[in-house]
Amino acid sequence: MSNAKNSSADNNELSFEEAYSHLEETVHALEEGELSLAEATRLFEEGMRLARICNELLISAELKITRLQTAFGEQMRLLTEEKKESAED
Amino acid sequence: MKGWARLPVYSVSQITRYLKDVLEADALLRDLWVRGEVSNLSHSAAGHYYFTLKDATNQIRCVMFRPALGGENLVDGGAVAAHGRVSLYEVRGDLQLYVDLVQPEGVGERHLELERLRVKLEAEGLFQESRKRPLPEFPKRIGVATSPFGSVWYDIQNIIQRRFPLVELALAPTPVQGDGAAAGIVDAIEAMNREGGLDVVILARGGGSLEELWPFNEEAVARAIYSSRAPVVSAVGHETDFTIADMVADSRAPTPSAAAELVVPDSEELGKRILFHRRNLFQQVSGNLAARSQELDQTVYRMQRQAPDVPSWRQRIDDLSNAYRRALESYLVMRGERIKALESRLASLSPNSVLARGYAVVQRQDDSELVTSVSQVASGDDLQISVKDGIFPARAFS
Repeated sequence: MSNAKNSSADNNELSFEEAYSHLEETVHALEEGELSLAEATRLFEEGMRLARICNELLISAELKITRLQTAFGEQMRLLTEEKKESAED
Repeated sequence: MKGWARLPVYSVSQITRYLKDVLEADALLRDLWVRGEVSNLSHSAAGHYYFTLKDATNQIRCVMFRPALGGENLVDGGAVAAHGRVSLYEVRGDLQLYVDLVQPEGVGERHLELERLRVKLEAEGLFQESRKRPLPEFPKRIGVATSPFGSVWYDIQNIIQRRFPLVELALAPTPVQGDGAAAGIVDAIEAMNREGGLDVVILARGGGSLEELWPFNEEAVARAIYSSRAPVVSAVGHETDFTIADMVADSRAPTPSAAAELVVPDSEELGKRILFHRRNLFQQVSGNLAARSQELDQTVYRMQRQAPDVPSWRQRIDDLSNAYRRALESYLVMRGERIKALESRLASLSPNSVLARGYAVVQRQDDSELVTSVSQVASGDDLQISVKDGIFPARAFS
């Protein structure tokens, strides 16, 4: 149970870029070989976990949209507000 | 006549110097285009051009030093537009147009201006390849400077939502055509610089006429792009449109949609790469396990070869004990036969066989002593006499 909690906490912390680059490093380390069986198994589990995090991040992502303040943006905003007000009047 | 005498007298050099200063102080003469027909063209060994530009009635001497641009447009009798400054060649007192750029005549004024700006910014190094920054592989925040109306902004959102929705799109709204566009674009890029934390910036607008795309050829826009803190991808008009903004930007995309595809990876492709990594992980570990398991098998086999062969020892013990039993049996049989032989020899040596031949054995009754001499017997002693078929009592007398 505590493991599952830890891994979901890690999910929140890791960005896709971090998870993906760790995944690549893990595969690379395994390919290098000359590891003890225990170490290889640990890397395998870590790699599978990172692959799952990457997939989850990709699947669950929602595009976030923000607007920066520019002079033009302000003008547009004021115009729409004026229109609203005159419509209300 | 007196007035004449009071006028100062200058040397030629003083006058040519003065003329040169006057000409060079004039704003118009410092930076201008002159159109005309080329004549008296000569090309020096050092790579400089000397020629005259003339129209129907007048002419002006021109010189173009290396490495000015557009020398290939110069032919005697050809119509050109030459850009440069007017000054005085003091050695000869000749007024000259010092040309830095020649364009064939017939090109519109906008193009002339565009070419002039291009040459200027290029000389300043705004287009240098070495300055172009690479785009991040996995951006987190993407700035978009474009109009909030119309399909460009919509297309960019759609493509990024589909390809790699792990990002934030920060829209910096700006008009992208008309009088306020250049100032708006500069303002939008400045807003993104103020915001900070953007990994890449897209500057985009859809296709249009040269006039509509003009803001993207303005010097202020070029300098704003150059000053952007995040790498800029320009996507202005269609593939065939090429603006100053495209040249300054770190990357150029042929269309706004292409720019959206350029700045983010494709999650489908990423999914394939992740799958590939997973397979690789699995193969590495199962390969490792298979190798270990084979090693183990070999070790066990070697160990088994070294270990004593218990069944064969058991069989050998069986064999030996069988042999022993057989040997014992035959020994016993042999012994039995010898005993029988001895028995028969014994039988032959028994007194009975002597008795059978008619002898008798005499024993004293009281102590069963065998009587072998007359001295052993006194008158009246009870005796026991054994013959072949039995025993009978007797008494001595004399």
